[in-house]
Amino acid sequence: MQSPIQGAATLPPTAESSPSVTAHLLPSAADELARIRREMPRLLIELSLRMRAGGRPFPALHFGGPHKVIRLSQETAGAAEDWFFVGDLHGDFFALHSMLRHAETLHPGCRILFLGDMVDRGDHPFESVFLLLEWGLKRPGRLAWIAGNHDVAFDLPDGAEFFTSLVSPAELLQVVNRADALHGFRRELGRFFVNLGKGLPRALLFPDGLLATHGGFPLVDLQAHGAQIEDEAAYLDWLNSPACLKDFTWTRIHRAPKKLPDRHSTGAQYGFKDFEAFCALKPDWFPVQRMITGHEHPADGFAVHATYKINPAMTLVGFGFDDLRAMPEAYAHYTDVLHIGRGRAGALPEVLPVPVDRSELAWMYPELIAAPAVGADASASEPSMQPDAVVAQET
Amino acid sequence: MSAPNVDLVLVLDASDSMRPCIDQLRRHLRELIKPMQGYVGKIRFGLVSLSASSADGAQVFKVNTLAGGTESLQPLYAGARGQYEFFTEDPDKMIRTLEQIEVTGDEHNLLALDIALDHPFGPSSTTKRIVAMFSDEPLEAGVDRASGVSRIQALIDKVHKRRVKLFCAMPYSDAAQRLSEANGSEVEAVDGGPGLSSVNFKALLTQMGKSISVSALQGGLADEAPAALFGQDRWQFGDFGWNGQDAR
Repeated sequence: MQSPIQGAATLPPTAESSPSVTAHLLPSAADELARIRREMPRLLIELSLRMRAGGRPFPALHFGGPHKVIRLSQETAGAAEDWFFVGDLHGDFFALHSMLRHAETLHPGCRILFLGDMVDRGDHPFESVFLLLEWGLKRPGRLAWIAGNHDVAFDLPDGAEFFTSLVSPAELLQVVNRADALHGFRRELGRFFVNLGKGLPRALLFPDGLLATHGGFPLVDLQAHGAQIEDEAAYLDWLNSPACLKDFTWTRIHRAPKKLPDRHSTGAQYGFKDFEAFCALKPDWFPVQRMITGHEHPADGFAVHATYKINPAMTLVGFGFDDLRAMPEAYAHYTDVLHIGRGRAGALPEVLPVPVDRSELAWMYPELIAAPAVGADASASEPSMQPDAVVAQET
Repeated sequence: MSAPNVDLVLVLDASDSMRPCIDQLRRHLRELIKPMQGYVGKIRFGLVSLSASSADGAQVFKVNTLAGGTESLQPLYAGARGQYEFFTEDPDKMIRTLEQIEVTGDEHNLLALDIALDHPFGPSSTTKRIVAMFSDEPLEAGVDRASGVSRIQALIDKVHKRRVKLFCAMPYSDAAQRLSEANGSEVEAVDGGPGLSSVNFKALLTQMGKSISVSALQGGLADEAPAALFGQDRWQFGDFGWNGQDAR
């Protein structure tokens, strides 16, 4: 029996991604966590104001626009090599901090595209939200955030006392629905996140044909309608229809040639021929050639899907804890290396390893992570980049 | 976050040639469990083994579930399961039951799959519902070929509605290809010879256990799906067939 995702590419570490390059040039994760917690009330007010139309721009590309599936212009997209891609974070502040620091160290002018799923599971959802948005505030035009299914599943229905989520389990609900002295502040954080999810784009198409999307694309049953559209504007409207937006965010990649769209499930799968069909649908109007997704959680942190040959596809994971284990034990089994993607014109992004500084991790989680012995050879714990198989964890 | 439970129904072609497969499953069942330990809650096993033949112009089926022989289909479909246990948490009970399966006759794997889909799984919101099917013959083979294949689409719909994740190890065929298009299904095309005797079951079951560990709950509440697509809820149980077994 084979796992749903196979064929991870083997990508050797590059010279510029060696651990020594990233050593403590920026504040530690623990320091940043303390700082961002102090800053959260101020950031909440500033970012809430920026969400309102007519205010100063929100620090995420194409936030709140009329379209959520967007073909980026060359002027907006800039150079492919400027972009760094971050997969599902699920509240892992340490991973986000490590990857931001790593990207900036490699390329001070870097731009970050987060592929969605900021909340649930990990223990610092709002701290992670504000760390990323503050990063964007300080670097105008350099942050993009595509909504993940966990980001858009969260809601506070009109008149409701409690927040809800379409996904289960949804650990964020335990945070925002908790009745304690901070309930009012948490409720405001929750409202902010609901509005954030509503304004985020769902997919961005780069000029070289790279589609960045959390889950996938409109499945074959919807494509039949798209194929009949004879006008570019109408086609883009169709891509932005609720049914298509749902597929961009919720569907799941699979190694098989084809999958029948399962409309009983929110997470219907697709195969490589389904993706080829989407790429061939209207290539002049929405010229997709390859795809980077989040949503799935390949055990090795990334997967380049071997069966996607004509139109290649890859998946990235951002968090580093073992999400098959309960919290907080999941942090006790933290990975030795995180992965970040770096754009390459005309190709899938390159996967760069981000070695985990275990002493820094131990500082954040002293009860779960043993600090490495003084003088220990950091490279000794550097993992192999030769995964012989990738087993996918779906969310 | 509490770990999801797993309800796993093994579907076995119990035709003449399948003894090596059943013996290997019995021997390596714990390899399936190992990768799940620590990652899931309760693991419950179910079983459907089925062999078929024709007698006096009627198709005759011999079925085993964990609740008993073919007669256990009556409580399964009558909704009065009472003391009948279609799942067990005890792997030893599962292994003992595998030992007792008698191989004979021909196969009807899609019927066996349908009976498995009708098992009383735990709630889909908390339980990974798994059906794992093993056969050394293509899905198109066996008794009742035409009507079996004609129901593949209905079976896929049922897999979707019942929120089941399907694993299959069987020879490649057009029907297997179609079944692989079901959401959440993993169809492994194997060419293991009679009884899948050249298949490395230890590796196969280990990989399956890993895949189950990391698979998602299929999500949401299961929808109503028609039971007994092959009319097995209307079987008449009489004195004909194998060992006083059953016919329709």
